[in-house]
This record gives sequence, structure tokens and C-alpha cells, in this order.
Amino acid sequence: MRPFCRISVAPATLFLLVVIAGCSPSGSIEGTWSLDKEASTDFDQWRRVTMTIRSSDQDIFVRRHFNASRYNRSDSTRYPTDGSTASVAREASAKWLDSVHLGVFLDEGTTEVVSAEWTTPGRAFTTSSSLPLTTSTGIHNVETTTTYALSRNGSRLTVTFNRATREEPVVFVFTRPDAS
Amino acid sequence: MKGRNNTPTSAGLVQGALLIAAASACVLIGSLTSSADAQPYTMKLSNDWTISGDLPDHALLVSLQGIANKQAPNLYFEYPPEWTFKFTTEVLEYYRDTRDIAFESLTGVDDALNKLADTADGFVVWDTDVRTSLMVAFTVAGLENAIVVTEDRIQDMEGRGLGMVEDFRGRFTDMNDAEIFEWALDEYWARCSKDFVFWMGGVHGDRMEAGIADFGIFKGGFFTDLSADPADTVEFALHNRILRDLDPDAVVMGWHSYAKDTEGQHVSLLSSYGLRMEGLNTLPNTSYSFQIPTTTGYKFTNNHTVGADEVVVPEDKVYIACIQTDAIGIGAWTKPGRGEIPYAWEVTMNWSWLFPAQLQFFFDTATPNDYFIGALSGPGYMYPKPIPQDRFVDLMADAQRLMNELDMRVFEVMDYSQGNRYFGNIDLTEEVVEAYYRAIPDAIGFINGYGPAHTNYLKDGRPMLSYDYYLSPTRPEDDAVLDLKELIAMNPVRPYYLTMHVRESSDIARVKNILDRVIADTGDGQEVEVVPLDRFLRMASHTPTFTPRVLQSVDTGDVMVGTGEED
Repeated sequence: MRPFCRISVAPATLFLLVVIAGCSPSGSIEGTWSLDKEASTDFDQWRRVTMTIRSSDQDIFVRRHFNASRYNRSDSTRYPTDGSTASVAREASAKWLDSVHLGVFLDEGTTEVVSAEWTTPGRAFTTSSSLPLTTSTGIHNVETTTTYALSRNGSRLTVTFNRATREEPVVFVFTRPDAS
Repeated sequence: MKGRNNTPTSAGLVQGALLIAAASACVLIGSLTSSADAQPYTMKLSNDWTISGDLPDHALLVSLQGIANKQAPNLYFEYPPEWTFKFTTEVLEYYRDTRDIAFESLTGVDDALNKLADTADGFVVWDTDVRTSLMVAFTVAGLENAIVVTEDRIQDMEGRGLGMVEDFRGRFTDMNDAEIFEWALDEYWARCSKDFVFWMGGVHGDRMEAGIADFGIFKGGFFTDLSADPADTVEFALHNRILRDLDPDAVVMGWHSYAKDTEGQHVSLLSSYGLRMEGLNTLPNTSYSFQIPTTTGYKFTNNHTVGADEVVVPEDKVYIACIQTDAIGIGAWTKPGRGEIPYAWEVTMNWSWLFPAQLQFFFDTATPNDYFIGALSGPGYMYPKPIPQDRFVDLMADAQRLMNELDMRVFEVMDYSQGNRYFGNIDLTEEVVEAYYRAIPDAIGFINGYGPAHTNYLKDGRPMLSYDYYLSPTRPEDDAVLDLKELIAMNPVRPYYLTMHVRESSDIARVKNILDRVIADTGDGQEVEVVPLDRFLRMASHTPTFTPRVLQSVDTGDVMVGTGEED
């Protein structure tokens, strides 16, 4: 029996390790992501969207890059994760990148107030923001809670925007740019 | 009929327009006499405009159309359902029913040649290996009354007793477009019309959708697709050379090339010369319809729902006005749902003299819910910010004249000279806004934008409102409903005036579904009402809840990359 045990224990252990590894979450939310338009809420105004996420002990940095047929736009936000809020000065823009088809814009001096917290360190976090958008009748503060969640195997990132002004969430699914 | 076209030149815009109208009337009278004796022909065209497919036949046919129609309105084509302009069958039926024109159907290219080749004086051969050679061939066709053919038709042409006036096979091999057009300018430009020039742009590569070619040939115009992108230095210089040489009241017809530049660059450049554009390269049958007048004593009449000075008091509601842009013929006129909701239609006003009967078709078939507005930024498509100050007043006086002729009280402005739906701004400075108020005194209001814009103004009881929502033709209905409800939530002030741009290809049944759901679903007892545009503007005049705003300064920080289909 001994020889049999010696021979069979090693593959069994290896198998168990493989199973455990398969059940464990893998990958990191950090890095560059590309919007999967088919799997997402319609976003017809932009042909391609990429997003880069980096983090440190104090914050999470998110940079979004939007591409139409021949135009590039981008914005970036550094969210504090220590429970504080940060005021982010926004560049004046006649377009609101989240929805260029709505008649709202960012006026001179617009400041967005943001914060974030990790819900699963390295894999999921939630942000809050308060953005004063200029409309045709005045200024309206848009409050948004956004969740960023990595899939179990680390291949998909689901970003869900819950805007107080919109009755349903906007759900964007991202994959790694080199995944096809 | 060789050589220069019959349209006069003049220094003054109004004078020029009057002369054009007078010349057109002469053509019309002569044409009607001819057409009474001769039965016009019609033929259905396929949707294949590729060089390897049907483009050789189509190029031949549209050149034959331009030539044959110089003598009388002899040839009309029915374009396929996929064609950008959707009305060719409906207009043909309208001509047949209201003008008592009995069209005879042609069975194909050979039949067309058998019936009409004798109207030509020769033929010109283009090189299927050099796409640009076809544009040069169109130019030659207009100047020499020559049918445009490929080499496989040479024997056929000679058999019909026609001589070859030019052979471009191999002539432009290894030359780029700038070199080809520079050669063509040196060779032909002096003889070409200075009242019309033709940009054979739009799609590129293996296709050319040459719907406007008949009119260019009819008018003896120069054909090109030179770039308006300053980075294309040589093409840009040649482009400027053409625009500089045109008469002040000239019309640039066709469209820019999606492969070379942007709509914003193209229209900005011609606007900087005080010129106007009439799109597109796909505009069909213009040489035919140019010769069909309105019925005797006809007066264009719009469907006003309020008096120009009527006081209309709004309630605490959300009011939505829908405007379909990109010209009445491109979009939903012949699609389901028209007439079911109040709807405003952008009219390119030069149609009143370019093809008056065709414009009458739209007015005659309008329902009480269809309301016409003047467009676009001037007497034709142009951008106000680049227009030279010394040209602005005359141009807008002509726009006002056209609006009066067409019974229009609302004028629409668009300016892509500093941005578009994605970057920069499409707003107007106070100086420009004030100039419009002075130059178009009879307007009860103005609309600005294409994508959403932020120029809102009120003066002398006349509001200027910018689009607050752009309904993309590809936006799913569920998302459009959520968009509109979100916009309403972001604008809690009542009344709230929501000006909505419906992009060309959305049919009204779809728009009505979206709006019905917004009306039914908007909560908190809020009322949403879709209203006619003139009523909308009079209410905005009475209770202006919008924030007055004009362009100050915008630092876009954007990057433009490459070229492609216009946005």
C-alpha cells in the first residue's frame, strides 16, 4: 500500500490545489479595460471607451478615454479611500462625456466632489460623486454612486452607475483590451 | 448647349438670386414647351455604386441624364429604397398625377442610349483604375456634352456615331488627387460654371454615389472632392483657389469626402468665403426637377398654429418640440407615423428655386402637424461664425426673403466651425446672435445646434433656443425614454422647454412611441406635452424659464484623429 499511497497522494494534492485555485478569485481590478459595447447599456455616442484603474494605499485613480470616429476625449479622477472626500476641478466642457446627447454641460469653475471605498480590496470598490451640471434652466447637482466589480476569474469588470436623476442604472461591462 | 451654363453671374446676392430666378423661369417655360411634346423617360437604378459593380453604368446614366435634360426634362431616375434621399418614387408619382406627365419606363442602359444618345455630342472615357478620373470625366461631360463611359463601351459609342472627346485611360496613373485636380483645373476651370461647383464626396474607396452628377453636367460645373483640411496643404490650396474664383452668390453642391476631411472643415471653409452649400452628393434628379415649376399661382403655405404676435401662456408643464433636421427629403417624410404628432421639418430653402415643384410636393403632402422651418444658418448650409462680416447682412437678407416666400417664421442655425457633437462648442457669440436678430426680423424665434448646444437668448419677444436633446437614430427606445426623463429631472423648473433634434432616419412612429412612454411614465404628477414649434416658441417668449447664455470661451482640450464617416 505504501508505494501506492506515495504515488497517488501527489496527484490528488495537485488536483486539489488546482480546484482550490479555480474557485479562488483571481486577477486584479487594476490596469486597462476596454468597453464591451454588446454586453453594456447602449452607449451609441462613443465608438470605443477604455478605462485605466490604479490604486495606492490612499486612493483609487480612474482614467476614462472616449473615442468617436475621429475625436478623443478623456477625464480622470482620483478618489480618496480613507473616508474623506476630494474636490476635483473639472475642465469646462460643452459636452458631458457620460451622455453627450443631453443638453447639459460643465461650466467654468465646475468642481466635482468624490470619494470611494473598497468593498473587496483589489477587486471591487464603490465611488460616490456630486457633480453640478449646467442645464438650460440652471444648475443641477447630479449624485452618482458607482460600483466597480471584477468577475471571479478576473476577466470582466462591471461598472454600474446609479445616478439619482436616472431611473435605471447604466451598466458598462469591460474586458481586457487584448481579450477578443 | 456646350460650354458655360445659362445661369447669370452678379455681384449682389439679391440681384443674383433674381437673375437666377429669371433665368430659371426662361428655362422652365422652354422646358415645359418641350416636355409637352416629348414623353420623359424613367428608369429604376440599383443600389450598387461600386466601381467593380454598377458604377460604370450609373456614371453613364447620370451623365446621359444631365445631357438629355439640357434640352428638356427628359430623364428621371427612381433610386432604390436604400438611397439617402427617399422620395424619388413619391415625387415621380406626384409629377405624374399633378403635372399630367406620362413617364415611359426604360429597360436598361442600352434602351436609355437608344432613346437619348442623340442628345450627346460625344463621349469621354474614364479609367476604372483611377477613381478620381471619373470626377474629371464628369467635368468634361458637362463642357462637351459627352456621355461618360468605360472602355468596354467605346465601340458601342462609336457605333452610335459619337466621337471620343477625351480618353483618361492611363492619363492619371500614379498621380495623386492633388495632381489630378490641378491638371483638371488648368485644363477646364476657365470654362466651368462659377455659379455652381460640385463636390463629389461622401463615400470613398470602391464606391462613388454620384446622384448629383447630372446637375453638374447640366450646369457645366467642375467636379472635385478636394480636402478642406489645412493639413492637406496642396489640396487645401487648390480648394481655396476654386472657392476664391466663384461668384459671390455661388452654390457649392454635393458633399465633402469622408476620406479626406470633416463636414465642419468643409462648410467652415466655404462659409469663410460667404458661400453656401447644398447637399448632398446623392441628391437625385436635380437636372430634371430644376425644370418643373410650381403649379400656376401656387403659394407656399405653412401650418402655423399661432399668430406671429399671439400671446400664448404656458402652464407648469414640460413642453417638447420635435425638429427633424438634415433636410426633409433624407428622413422620415415617406416613413410611418407622419402627421400623428406635431413635428417641425428643416427645409433647405434653396429648393424653392432649385426644384420648386419638388418642394411643392412636400408642402402639398404636409399634414396639419407638419411645420416647416428655414435652414440652415443662411440661404443654404453655412456656418455663421466664419462668414465675413461684410457678407453676413446680404446673405441673411436673402435668407429672410426665402423664408417669406416659403411662409416660414422660424429659422435654424448650426455652426460646426469650433466643434461638433463630441468636442468643442456649437454655440454662438452674442455678436452673431444679435446679427441674426437684426438680419431676420420676421422670425418669431430661432433654433440653434445639431447636437445639444447652450445658446439661449430672448430679445423683442423672440427666443433663440438650442437643442436640449439629440435623438440618435441608433438609440434604443428604452434608453431614449430614460434620457428624456433624466433631462426632465435635471430641469425641475416649470415650464421647461425641451427642444429635441430628431436625426434624419428616425421615423415618426418610433419618435411617437418614445414620447408616449415619456408622457405616460413621468412621475410626480408632472405633465409632459408635445407641442408645435411655433406655439412652443411663443410660450417660451411669454415665460422664459431658460437661462440666457451665449458663447464666452471654451477650451476644448480635445484631440481630433483621422477621418471617417461624419458624426
